[in-house]
Amino acid sequence: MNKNFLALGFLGSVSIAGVLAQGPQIKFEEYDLPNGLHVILHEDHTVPLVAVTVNYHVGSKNENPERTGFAHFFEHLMFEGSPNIKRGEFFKYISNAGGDNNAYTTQDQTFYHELLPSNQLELGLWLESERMLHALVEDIGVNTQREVVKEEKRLRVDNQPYGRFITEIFVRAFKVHPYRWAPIGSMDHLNAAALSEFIDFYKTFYVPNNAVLCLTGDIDIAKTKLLVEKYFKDIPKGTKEIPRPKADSEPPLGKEVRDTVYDEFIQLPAVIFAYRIPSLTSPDYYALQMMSSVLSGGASSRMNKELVDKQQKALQAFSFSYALEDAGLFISAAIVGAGVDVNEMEKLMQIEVDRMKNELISETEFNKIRTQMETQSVSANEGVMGVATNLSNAYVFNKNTNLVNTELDNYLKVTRDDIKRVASQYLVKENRVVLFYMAGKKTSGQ
Amino acid sequence: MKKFICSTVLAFLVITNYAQVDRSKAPEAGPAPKITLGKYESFTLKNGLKVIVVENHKLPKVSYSLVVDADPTLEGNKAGYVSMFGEMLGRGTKTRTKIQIDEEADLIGATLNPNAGGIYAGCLKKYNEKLLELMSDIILNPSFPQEEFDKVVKRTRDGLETVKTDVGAIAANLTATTVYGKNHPYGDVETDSTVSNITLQDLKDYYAKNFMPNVSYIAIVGDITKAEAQPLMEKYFGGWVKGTPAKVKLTNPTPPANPEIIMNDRAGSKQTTLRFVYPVQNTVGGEDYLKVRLLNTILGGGATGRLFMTLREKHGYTYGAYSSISADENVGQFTASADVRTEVTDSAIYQFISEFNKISTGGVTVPELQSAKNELTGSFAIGLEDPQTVARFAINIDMYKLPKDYYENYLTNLNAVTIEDVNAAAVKYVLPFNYHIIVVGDRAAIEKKILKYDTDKKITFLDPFGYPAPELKAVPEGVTAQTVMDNYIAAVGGKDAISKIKDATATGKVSAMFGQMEYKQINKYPNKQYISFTIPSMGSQEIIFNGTAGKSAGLGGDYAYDEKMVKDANADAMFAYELDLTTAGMQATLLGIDLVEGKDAYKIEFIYPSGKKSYSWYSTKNNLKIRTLTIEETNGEQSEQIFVYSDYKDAGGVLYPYYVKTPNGDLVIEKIDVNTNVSDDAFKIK
Repeated sequence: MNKNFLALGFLGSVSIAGVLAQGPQIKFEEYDLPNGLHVILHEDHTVPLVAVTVNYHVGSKNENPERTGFAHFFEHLMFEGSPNIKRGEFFKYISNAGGDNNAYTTQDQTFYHELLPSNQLELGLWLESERMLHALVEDIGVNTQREVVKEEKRLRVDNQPYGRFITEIFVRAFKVHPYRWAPIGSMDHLNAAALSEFIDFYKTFYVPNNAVLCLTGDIDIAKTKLLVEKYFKDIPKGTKEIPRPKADSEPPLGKEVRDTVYDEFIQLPAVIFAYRIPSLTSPDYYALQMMSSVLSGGASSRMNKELVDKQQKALQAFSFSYALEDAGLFISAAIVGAGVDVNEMEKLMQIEVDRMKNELISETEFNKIRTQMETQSVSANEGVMGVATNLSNAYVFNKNTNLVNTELDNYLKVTRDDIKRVASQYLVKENRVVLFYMAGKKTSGQ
Repeated sequence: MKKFICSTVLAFLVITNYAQVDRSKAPEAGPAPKITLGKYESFTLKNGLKVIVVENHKLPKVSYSLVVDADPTLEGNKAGYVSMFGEMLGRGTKTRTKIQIDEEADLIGATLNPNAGGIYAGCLKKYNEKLLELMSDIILNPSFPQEEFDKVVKRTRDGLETVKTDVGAIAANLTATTVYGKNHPYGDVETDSTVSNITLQDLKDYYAKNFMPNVSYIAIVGDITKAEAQPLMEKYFGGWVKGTPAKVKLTNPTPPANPEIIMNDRAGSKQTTLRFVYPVQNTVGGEDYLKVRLLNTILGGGATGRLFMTLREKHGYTYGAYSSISADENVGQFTASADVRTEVTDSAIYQFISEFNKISTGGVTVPELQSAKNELTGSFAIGLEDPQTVARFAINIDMYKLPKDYYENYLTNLNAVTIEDVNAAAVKYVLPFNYHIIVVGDRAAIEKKILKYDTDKKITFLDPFGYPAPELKAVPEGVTAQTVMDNYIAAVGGKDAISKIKDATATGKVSAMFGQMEYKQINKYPNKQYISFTIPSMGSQEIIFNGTAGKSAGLGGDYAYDEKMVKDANADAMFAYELDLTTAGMQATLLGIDLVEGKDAYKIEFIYPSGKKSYSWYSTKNNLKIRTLTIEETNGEQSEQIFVYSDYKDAGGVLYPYYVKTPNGDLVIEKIDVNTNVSDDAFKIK
């Protein structure tokens, strides 16, 4: 039996903003093409591979509330081809070249990536430029991918134990901001949408001035610049205004939101606390990340030691900071052991929350999490794809590509007092959702 | 601003003048880069522990993976103890408690993952020696404290709870018990009951019999040299005592003779988890290894495989469809899998089977093979980015007795595989008729539709752990055989209405395999019955019971009822034996609630006076009898006779089924005449 299956199921397709890194300095060059495409290049000849990535600054938060799921749907649609790439051949070009590719969509971004042998760099640029210039947005592709996306939702959300975890939390934690719906969105919305709406979405968001092209690995910077121009410079700049929600549109939660949801595919209930926190660009981001390490980073962390090991009340317990571009949630959760009452679990979790707010963490804990951050930062830029992802996201979200080289400093600046302060500031009842996730028939909840 | 843009554009124009982009075709690849394998060094300690060192000074960190190459263990009714043993490693040594180990590991930011097959450990180089101290203590001096064992038992039990709802875990359990069975280690599935049989001593015994340096490897990867590593290994693992490993002889399973469906019912599931599985003989570096890898890449290795292209990209049945053909020293496994939406389960099965047929009879194409070679060449190169890969290669060479230059020549050998090789492998490894179909899904919604893919038309139902599933659901309180029968009588019109019927004559047609038959049935109160089947131009078969004697005569041969048959016929000739079991001489037992064509029905077992058994199903919804199964015994051989009743309509105040599926064909009743004063002559035995 695979002991890790729970963690996978619980987090589902959540992408947690990874801790960016240190280790050796990452040298890079960046510039804009006249059409607004931002380009980042990093040269590393360790292995003969190149990572080709395009980061479109569009996620579920840019969607029309009547058309949720569009951004993620596009992640699928964008593999359907172009006038020069026949339907279904996108994957074939990559694998035929010995490469590997995929994409992901979050609330804030849609990220496409190919890992290729370095002699196939130009192929990667051709494919990505075709996608940006004139991807096929046609009925046949829309209809096929609609079915595929429905299966993805069934697989990862509806039929997956704890699969609606993220959806159920966000819909209660946000009332105004589009973070209130999850990237998977509504199948009804996708069914209702006309082809013209898909074309409009493409023309609005899949434009060079809303994208970052980041290439890392076994490349020659000067030659690569020429190739980038060759394939991308003639792609016209977008003419439509790019809708972005107001980051501060969401008023404070005001009072605790408490609810129970049911999942017929689970046996053990879960208790979840979700506290509203600021954007990933906030200076408090680092202290919040470190707080989550105190609670659940490593076997000797507080929740693992107390709830899972010593008292054996939880099968699993964890905290993480789900920080997004406009705002985020600090989530603390436990899968309740067989025969343990959820109310008891809540009390035990509350004790850990109160300790964070009322006491400074010990010197030992502080040293522990600093070492953890250092270890993570050394490993974060392992592999050319990791470097490309970190560089690109640092630019898109922080407008500071060099963050990949300075982030550890930001962690090391955090003091024990900072951690206590963010705990007291954000881990308050008025600012949270408490969700009991119970075994049983699904209610009509959202 | 405007000026700036213009000059920038001009600048670009100057540089890129030559580059008139031809977008119509994919750009040519540059010259292939040289793929070089990282170097490794190795040495063996006196106690037999083999150490492999892969230097990689890019990042200031180091990792160790210890692999204990023990033979698989049949756990049987103690299934789960090997993985529990793995959980216990790291939960206490002779000098450290679990809390101390965790604390010390977290203080140096270490990763420390012990498991039943060894341990993986890594940290920043500066904490190297502290890590080795912890790692060697965990492996050499485990203390197996009872208190930690109790926790592991509880955790395992809680974990088993979650298995019940995890379709992937359920499919894996069904695969294990189906493909490998209870007598093969790969068929071991842990359950509450096997876990309760496990003692701490079992874990200690496992450690003593299997964990020894002379069957183990340590792969060291990172910012370290062989010169540095050697004394450290001596210091931390030199004291590990050599032993004699337990050797196991396995009898490996073979594929099934015919397609069989093995199912776990997951009522209400929106998706069906499908796995086509069977055992194969395929080993790492073996004769067919590369051919099989290429074959599988083409069939279902990824997003360009035939299965993905057909099931996802063409039909949109699933988020992904894949196959794998695993290599294993003992026995490998063919698996093709997808999670499809419930409504298209049967169509998806059809597509899988046609893809198996297509590739095993039609082979692969030249472009497909070239593409698969490119893909595997690429993934080989991509794999080399991780220095752990080189360490794994080194272990494989030793463990699977491969030539020393196996991985140096890997790409050359891969590219030398011919289309004939792959087509031969397709015939050998993709079996279009010898698989189990593992199905986790909503029985009510799919059973009928997928039955045709099961050879004996009988799906085996298993519980989430791969054990036979209890077929029947419990009945609600207060429901008994008597109440079910009473409700049935009420539903067809009630006791009074039935008692008003003195005789009834039904005529209809049976569409049998060989043509149409005319059907006639006459019943007269209390227990006379006449049935005839007539095939125009051929003749007829009559079955008559006059209340005391019976006879069958005509086309199918003549025979008179013996004493036993008379007793049973007496019951059958009644209008409804449910009305008066005593007179019928029958016994009834309510067994539970079963599913009949996706609908709930009470199942009652009837025992005839002769001891003959029969089962009837009554809808829980409208109380009507919907199915009967009788076990007939002729000349010592048993056969099941199934009748399915539907289209109940009124005749003389009582509901009769006007459509009956019988073992001889479908019977459609055309009319039923009631109380026509049928003479006793109709039941005369000539």
